[in-house]
Amino acid sequence: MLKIRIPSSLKMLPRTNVPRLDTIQPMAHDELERFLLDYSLEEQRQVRELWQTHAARKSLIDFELSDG
Amino acid sequence: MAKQYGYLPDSLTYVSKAGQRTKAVSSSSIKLDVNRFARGVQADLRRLTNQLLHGQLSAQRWYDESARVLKLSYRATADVARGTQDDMTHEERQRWLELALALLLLLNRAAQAINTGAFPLDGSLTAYIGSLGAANNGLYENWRLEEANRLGYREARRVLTPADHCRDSKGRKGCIELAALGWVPIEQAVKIGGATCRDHCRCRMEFRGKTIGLVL
Repeated sequence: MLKIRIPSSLKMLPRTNVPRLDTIQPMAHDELERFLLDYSLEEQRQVRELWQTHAARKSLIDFELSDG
Repeated sequence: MAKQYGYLPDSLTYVSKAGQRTKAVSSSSIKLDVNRFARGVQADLRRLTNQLLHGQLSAQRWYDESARVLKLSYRATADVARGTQDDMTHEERQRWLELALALLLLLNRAAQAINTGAFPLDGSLTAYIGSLGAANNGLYENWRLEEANRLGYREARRVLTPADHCRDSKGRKGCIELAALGWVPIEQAVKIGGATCRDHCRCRMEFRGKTIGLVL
């Protein structure tokens, strides 16, 4: 079996395929609460759409696609 | 799209209203649909995270979009558990906030760990965020558990769905052991998410022993 000796200096090199990310500004606690409690008609439509995308029983709870 | 399924909140059951006849839709059937929905959301979140890891999405955009998907999915699941998309009552809003906030704070924790470099930017991040999508299963069951408690049901039991289930480990009870307990007083029922499998849990809960005429 061929044995390759890896110099210790090479072992310290960082991975090159890790993305350099921007800093995330997560929502503060009270901001998260507001974010969750605010619920627009558009979001209500998006909720229906998300359910219909993934669930099998499309009309489970009066989910009707409408423009409003 | 006509309404085909009605919901009876007093008994936490669904009924099919197709044609002239009304028949019950089994809770296991509803649960299968919630499971399917949760798997779909899990896949959406994994896709988003993979875009982040491949440099196709900024970290802030990843956070914002993950939060949006989680909020919408949790709301969909809560509405299925409630049996309606009508406006929530004050009590429902408080219950919704408690359940959804606990999960969104886990997204925050991941974001903060990414900022400090403590969270490895690899498949473990994908799996972690995916588990927040899987948590839709738990949110659905825990909503129903609180509703059953409010309605005066006295006992609950954990039922294993067709899936791999966990065992006791590192101080946490396993779903297999919890299901083996059978009926327990409802206040002693371990919430979904509290077992070894945490937010990956796909168990469902059943309730009985409702006191007729109970005044709360």
